[in-house]
Amino acid sequence: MRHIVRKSFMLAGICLLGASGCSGIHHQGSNNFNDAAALSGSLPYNPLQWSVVTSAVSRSDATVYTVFGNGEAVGFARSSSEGNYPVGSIVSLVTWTQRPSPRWFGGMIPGAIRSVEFASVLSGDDHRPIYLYEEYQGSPLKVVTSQRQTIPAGRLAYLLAQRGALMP
Amino acid sequence: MSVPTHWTRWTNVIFWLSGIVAMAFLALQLKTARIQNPPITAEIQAPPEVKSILRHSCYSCHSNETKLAWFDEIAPISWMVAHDVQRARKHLNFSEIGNLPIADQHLVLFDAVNQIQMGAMPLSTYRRVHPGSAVTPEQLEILRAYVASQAPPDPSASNDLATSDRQRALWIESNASKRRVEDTVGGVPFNPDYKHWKQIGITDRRDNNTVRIVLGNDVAIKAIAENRINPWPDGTVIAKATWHERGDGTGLARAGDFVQVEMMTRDSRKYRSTVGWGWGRWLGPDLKPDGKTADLRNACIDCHNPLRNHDYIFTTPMRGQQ
Repeated sequence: MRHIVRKSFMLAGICLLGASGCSGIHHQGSNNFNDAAALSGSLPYNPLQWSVVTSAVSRSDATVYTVFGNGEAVGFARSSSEGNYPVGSIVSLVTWTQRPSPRWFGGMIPGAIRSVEFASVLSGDDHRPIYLYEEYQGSPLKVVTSQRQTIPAGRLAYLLAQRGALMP
Repeated sequence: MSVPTHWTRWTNVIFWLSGIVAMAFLALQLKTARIQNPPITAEIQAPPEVKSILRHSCYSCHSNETKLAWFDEIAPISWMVAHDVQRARKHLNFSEIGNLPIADQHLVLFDAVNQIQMGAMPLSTYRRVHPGSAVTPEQLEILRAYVASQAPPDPSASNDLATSDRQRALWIESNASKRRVEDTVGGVPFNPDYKHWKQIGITDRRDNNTVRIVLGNDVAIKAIAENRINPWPDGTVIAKATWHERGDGTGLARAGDFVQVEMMTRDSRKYRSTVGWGWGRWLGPDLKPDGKTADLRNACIDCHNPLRNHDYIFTTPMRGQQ
């Protein structure tokens, strides 16, 4: 499954490049898109295909992140204040550097990708959850951390502490 | 030598026509629009170099110190000028700006700089008949520096999540998602599915300390993938959810309490009179439709107008959601 998604993701990247190269038909300039913020590389999942959980900004680092989640994760994140993400949940935290919006003075929009992190809640052998943390950095994105934990700690705990921003 | 008969006839026709046009013109002057200059109640407090630019390029329409050229007072031009001045003062009036809440003052000043840097202000019609009124790049930098200095303080320095946590908890407890949300006055429907749509942009608005996530429905995502977003196809809905940025005590400003969600719904026939988009804004967790009259639509279009060559969309979408 992960292999297929990875292939599809790379294919999407190729299509993206193709699309940007033949944009003349409808006079659709590439400056209509924020391609600086694109995810390129080999990721196990494409978080941009998932729904949004929440977001935060670091003014000191000039970065912004969005937390995305798969179906299980988003369902939990939006309806719970306590407890743990259920087995099957995957939470992804995507961090972009910021750059000024060319269309709104005072607005900062995503620039280059800083990192993509995943926290997956898996079913362990003894039916107790086991957690997988993966981090991707660079251009194209490459895995820099991959670790399994039985008790979430560090960034894994941080990702799994994310709750849904109110979206009524 | 006698004048040919048809010459006399044409001379008569021209004479009478000229007379009629002249009479009509004079009659128009009786109905010329008079622009009043109401008292200055709360003028902008800004450094002299900023005020000098505003006076030179903006005050003729955006203040109570309108100075008209002689030709501005001749009907029918005077009617257009009066309409422009009236609309301009309603949008931003430098003679009364101090009466607005501070947050609104910031908003209109940032908007003013936007309109100038996008080339929408001063109006091209105004620039044509008032040479030298355009804001130069050097003047724009002065305005940008001044307006940037008026931005509210960095929210990430505080620890201020209590309000948003409470709002979220109340909303979950009340099972409010089952409530029906009303259409806008203009008949634009709320689309509750927006929360499942995919992110196409995110903006950290330092002019008012809000974070805004822009989401696209399936039609929008397909249009992005196919590079067909100028214009966006019918069926596109773009939603923008806004939260106050609240410091979490660790140096981050998080998406805190929910402010509003706005939606632009593309239906080129149904919304023909509003540039092909249905404009809607729903406020607070109760999602109360904003605006009691069509004023909201006009305000939306006025603000988005500088982006008319980009189908009125501020967001430059990310790609790769499919």
